[in-house]
Amino acid sequence: MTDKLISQLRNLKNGRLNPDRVWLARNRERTMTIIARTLSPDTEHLAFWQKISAAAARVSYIFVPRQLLAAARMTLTFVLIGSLAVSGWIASVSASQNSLPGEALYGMKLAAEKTELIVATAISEERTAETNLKHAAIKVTEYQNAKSRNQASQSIQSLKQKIESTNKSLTKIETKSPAEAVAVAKVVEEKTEEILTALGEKTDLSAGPEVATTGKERETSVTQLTNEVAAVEKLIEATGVKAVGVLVEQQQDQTKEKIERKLDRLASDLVKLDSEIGVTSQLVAVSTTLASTVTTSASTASTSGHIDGIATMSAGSTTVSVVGSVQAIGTPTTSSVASVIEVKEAVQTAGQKVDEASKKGEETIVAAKTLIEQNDLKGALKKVQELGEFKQQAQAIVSEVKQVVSEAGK
Amino acid sequence: MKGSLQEKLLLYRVRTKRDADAFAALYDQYVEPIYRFVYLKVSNKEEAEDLTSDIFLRAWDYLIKEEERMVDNFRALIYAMARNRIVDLYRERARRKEWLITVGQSEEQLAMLSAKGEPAGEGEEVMNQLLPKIQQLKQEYQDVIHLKYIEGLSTRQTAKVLGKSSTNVRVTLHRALKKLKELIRVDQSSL
Repeated sequence: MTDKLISQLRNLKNGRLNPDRVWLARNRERTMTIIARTLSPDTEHLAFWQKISAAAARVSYIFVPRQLLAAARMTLTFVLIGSLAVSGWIASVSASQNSLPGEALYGMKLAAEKTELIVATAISEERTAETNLKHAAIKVTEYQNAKSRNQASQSIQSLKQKIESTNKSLTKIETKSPAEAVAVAKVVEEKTEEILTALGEKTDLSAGPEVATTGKERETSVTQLTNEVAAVEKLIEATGVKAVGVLVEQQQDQTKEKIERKLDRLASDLVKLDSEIGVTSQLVAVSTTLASTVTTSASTASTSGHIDGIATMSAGSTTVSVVGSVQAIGTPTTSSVASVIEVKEAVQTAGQKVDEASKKGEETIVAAKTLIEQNDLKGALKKVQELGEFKQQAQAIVSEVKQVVSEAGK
Repeated sequence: MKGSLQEKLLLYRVRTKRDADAFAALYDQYVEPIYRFVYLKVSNKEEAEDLTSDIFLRAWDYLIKEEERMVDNFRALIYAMARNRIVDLYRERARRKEWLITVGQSEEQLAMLSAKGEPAGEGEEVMNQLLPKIQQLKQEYQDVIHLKYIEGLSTRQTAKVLGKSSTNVRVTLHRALKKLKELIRVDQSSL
């Protein structure tokens, strides 16, 4: 019955419900006449932009479906809110770029780095490694600009984490795809060299005022910071060597140059350490002589003059802290003469050890270069690792001496 | 879709340029459906003609004077104006204590028409039987039956004209048909 009823309803349109044709024509004419009478010349004097704006509003309202308009409006609202939030975030992040650990905006900087790392992790392991290295470079800059040892120490700790993460990424990539690992290894090698060079540029670890510490925080000593730097250098060195190892495995071009570059840098570091211990040794020897002569007729002023003269003799900025400590020793009293002699002996022993390390280092460099000439890059790389260990030993000795001299100064 | 776009263009011309020709095109397109819509409710030819004419003139006034009001669908506008005009008519009549259009009146008119020598065929018989029943339905039911079955609009178009959701229109239509069938059944059983 329903279908029949619907069919009947549809047929109603064809029957008496329709208007009279004559009326239709007459009414059209009449309606149009009335409409024509209502039309008056356009007296509105709207500005051009107002006309355009009104036309645009009508066009959008008439031609764009209402749902679409509503959706567009909602989207626009979200976009505006989002862009406001994002611009605020970008502004804060930009402002925090130069902040250092412990400063107000440093948290923002860390959050931005974390976000970047999350995105990189979602993309690929390669990108993660690159991002970690980028952040590592930022940590080195923080370390260089640190205004206190605490800040420097925090930067070094963060740097260590970044390098460890890079190391892990490199291992993962190497296991997954040796071909992809080559590209990452090249980047890692380049960046680790840059980072090591940059780390070496900051030598005066005792400079700068200390940041006020709370009860819980422990003030970072120069020795502690030196050890932290040495440890992170060792880690970076190992990561760099590992990257070169990947290149050696894949028989990549320019691997020889990379190994040679590492050898040269390590050799230069050893020479620097050797000269550092040499200068310390000289200064301590002079201090000892002075101490023994001044016990009878103490002349602090003249001693200071002598020591100042020695300080100007010492070449290079690397010895500044040591000279500072020796200056402290150089205000002798009868009781301190004995300790000065002890320091002298300690420095001499250390000097001998560093000399030994340097000699071994020189031998290792020669052996490594020979291996490189023989195209035994794996062997050469092992020698690089050995050289790195000698450097670490020498560095530890120098650090120890510095500590002894510093304590004697106190 | 094409028709809808054309209609929107005509509407745009009317609104921005006060284009009488564009309005004439819209008039041509909608005068018959609106007449049928009105006639179904008032059941009086002259009254339906007057109301239809008035509805179009009001629509023109609205479109050119109410510039601030956004109109995106002429069909929805003209049907809304027709419904409002009919409601106004009912109110006027109630105020004058006149009887509203009743089924009796329309039957009387049908009888008059038959008396004018227009023999009622099978189609006319159906019409004579159905129209009074439709007019007994409530306005909401009449509207959906008119738009969906007599004018042949889609459910979505009907929903747009009536300002309801498509689901709501489907439900209303189902109830309207059910009620209409009941009325027809009662009529047949009484004979």
